Amino acid sequence: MGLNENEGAGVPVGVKQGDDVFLVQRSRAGDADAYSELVRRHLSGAYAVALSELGDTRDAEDAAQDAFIQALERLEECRDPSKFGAWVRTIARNRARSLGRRKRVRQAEPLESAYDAAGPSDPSKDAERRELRRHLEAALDTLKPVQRQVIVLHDLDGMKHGEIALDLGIPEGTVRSHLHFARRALREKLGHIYQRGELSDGTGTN
Amino acid sequence: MELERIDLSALELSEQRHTALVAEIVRQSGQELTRRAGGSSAIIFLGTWARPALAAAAVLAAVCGTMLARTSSTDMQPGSGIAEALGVPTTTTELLAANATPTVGYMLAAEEDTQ
Repeated sequence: MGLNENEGAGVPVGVKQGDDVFLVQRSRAGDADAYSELVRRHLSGAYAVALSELGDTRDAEDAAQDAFIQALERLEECRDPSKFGAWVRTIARNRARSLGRRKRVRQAEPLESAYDAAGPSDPSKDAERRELRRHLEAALDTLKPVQRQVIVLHDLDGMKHGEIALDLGIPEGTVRSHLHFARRALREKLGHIYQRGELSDGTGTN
Repeated sequence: MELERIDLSALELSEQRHTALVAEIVRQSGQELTRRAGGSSAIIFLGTWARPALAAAAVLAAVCGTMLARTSSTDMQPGSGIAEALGVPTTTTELLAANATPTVGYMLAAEEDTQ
């Protein structure tokens, strides 16, 4: 059933089609298109949270993937569907922490085939990106967990200091402090890459 | 003073990777989505079945209510109905209906009733 068909499934009055509330309602009724749209909207956020916990992109992808599969199974527990994004991020964080604790060996590589099937991109750029990613992951790995969480949520996911403070349950001033030290540490670790011009500073200072 | 933002964009999901992950998640969710679609069909079926059943129950309740309302309390005679069915002596039910204190004569009559 397509998303433009507002039939059945008990969609509440006043809910606009395409809202998370509507999509959650449709997903509860087994609408694959609706759930696909929910995943598309909130995957990056869930991935960023998982990455902030794990510091490893592949593990973060696994955790985000697990989070969405688990979220669908527990969709009735999402009491406020308008906050589905925040809810699935919490699940992603828990999945990431669980994954981090177990340090399990990756059992399967189903995503690799899906990735390859999507078609090749520029091989030289891909190689360059992979190299940068490797350096960044290694640098992130040297940070304290809370510093890694703060810098990934701020500099990658674009969350504000106050939002991170609420998310992690720490004072906003502490967030700023962790961000400062994390940036300084990464700058030291990645200095050689900056010098080569492969990793430019982003814009803005906040 | 805060240092400048670090460019972590190399860690972001590429568009291609994002698309592949979405497809993979939806693929792995297929069984659960199918289960949910089946479940909702069952609920709709039960709903359509429940509506006429509830309507019939409502009509039955209305008929019973009307019949009970028509039955006047004055129609009930002492000694009849449940008391009689339970074997309570007529004299006792008359005594209760009159809200009177039993006398020796009543008690003897009741004794005779039970025999």
